[in-house]
Amino acid sequence: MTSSKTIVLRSSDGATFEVDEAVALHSLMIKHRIETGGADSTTIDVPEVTGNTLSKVIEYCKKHVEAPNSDDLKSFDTDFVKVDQAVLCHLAKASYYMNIKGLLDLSSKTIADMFKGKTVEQIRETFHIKNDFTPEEEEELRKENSWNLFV
Amino acid sequence: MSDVPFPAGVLEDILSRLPVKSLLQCRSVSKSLRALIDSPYFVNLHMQKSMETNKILYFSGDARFPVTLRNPSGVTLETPFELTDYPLVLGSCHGLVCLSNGPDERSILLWNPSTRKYKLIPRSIYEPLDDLDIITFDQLGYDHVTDDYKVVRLSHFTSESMVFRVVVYSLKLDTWQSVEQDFPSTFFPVNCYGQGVFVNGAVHWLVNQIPFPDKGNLIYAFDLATQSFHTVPQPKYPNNITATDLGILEGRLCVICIHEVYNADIWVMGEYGVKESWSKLAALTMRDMTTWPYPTVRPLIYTKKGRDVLLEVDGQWLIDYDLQEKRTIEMWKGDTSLLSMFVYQETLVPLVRNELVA
Repeated sequence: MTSSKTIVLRSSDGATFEVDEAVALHSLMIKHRIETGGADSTTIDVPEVTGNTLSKVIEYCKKHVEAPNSDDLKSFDTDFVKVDQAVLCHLAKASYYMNIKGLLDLSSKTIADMFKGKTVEQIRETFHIKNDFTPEEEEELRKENSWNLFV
Repeated sequence: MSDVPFPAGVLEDILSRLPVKSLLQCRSVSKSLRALIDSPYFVNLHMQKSMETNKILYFSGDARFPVTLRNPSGVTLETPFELTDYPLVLGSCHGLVCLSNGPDERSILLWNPSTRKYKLIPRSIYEPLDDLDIITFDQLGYDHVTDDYKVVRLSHFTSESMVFRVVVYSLKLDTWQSVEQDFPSTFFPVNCYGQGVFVNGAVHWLVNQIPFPDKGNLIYAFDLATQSFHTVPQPKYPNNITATDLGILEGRLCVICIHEVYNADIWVMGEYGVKESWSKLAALTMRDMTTWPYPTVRPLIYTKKGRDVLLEVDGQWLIDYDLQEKRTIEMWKGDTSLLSMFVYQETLVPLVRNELVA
């Protein structure tokens, strides 16, 4: 009988989470750390991710590792990203740092869908991007895109 | 919302999933976003992602209605240039479409329907301006070695001997250049719909071998990177062939074999250059359709996640063919006598130099 090894993940704000090694390995970053780290590495720091987000990431990994063929996986994913924009952005960043492709695809696609309906000003607000165009440059760009209605 | 901005890798991943229309809008958000979206790196990243989704547009028109550009829902779209009587698509590659739009067949342009940018291609220096006795076969392709879009032209002056010259237009250089290797003097390209097919880095034509008409046609190809010719093996055809034609279906070379006048077999080459990889995709009988002298059948795209294939017949009919049941499910006739469909990919690929915007 194989013993299930556990790993402790520590977030940026010091929160710790004990998870099965198999679940932790769903993150290729953690997999790499374990493989290259010493034999004693049972606690792994994830300074790029806060406790709240890490907890959600672990929830995703658990589901995908423990029940990858379940019928409700698709609906799990759909519900998983029904969160507010801030959480969604944190998930995207975390999945990028932790190299979890499935979660990155899922969150990126959801954020991309959010982009589609928004105006330029709304995009700036949502994603905290500063407008560094002069009014003349903005007018020029507006003219360039005025045909966009047709296609 | 956290103040920590997105790491570049995440932002790129998100943006690369957006349609061109949204990306053009995002160019107005900030200078750094515009720089990213305009960068060759991102254009390529986005193109790789959009390769799975082919789009269709079509030209529709006849004596009653001037030619218009339409989307699959039938909605008329504006083109940044005026459409003449019979626009002919001469290739579609990485989101760029080559179009002959008059006043004569050799007036061609390159157009990106998604960004709406287009560029008139200068006249070839190898042809006199007003000589109408020229037969040309043009096709757009991509040279991966020089990262350049090129139009390959076979041209033959009817007043001269039966020799086809090969000239190539380079978008990067904005010039036509003659090709050193000759087109064999005994080869005569057969008039395929759209004048040739660009697949696997080469432009392909069906050529008739005069003076050996009984030998049948060959598939002859010009590789853009090596600037050399090669032949491609064909599938084993049935007897009583009426005509053959070339096509392309999601990056794979096709042959359409018309036999016994009304029957069309469509073959797809699974693995380029491998004769054994030819497989028959569809077999149709068009006895009920009036076509003269024989139908022209063109595969367009797979639909219903690969279950069906959309075919265009005689530039007037559309057929939805079920590949598993091997039969026609539905047929539509266009509402005008011209229904010229073309497939393209949504990309940001720019038309460098002398770019025109409507």
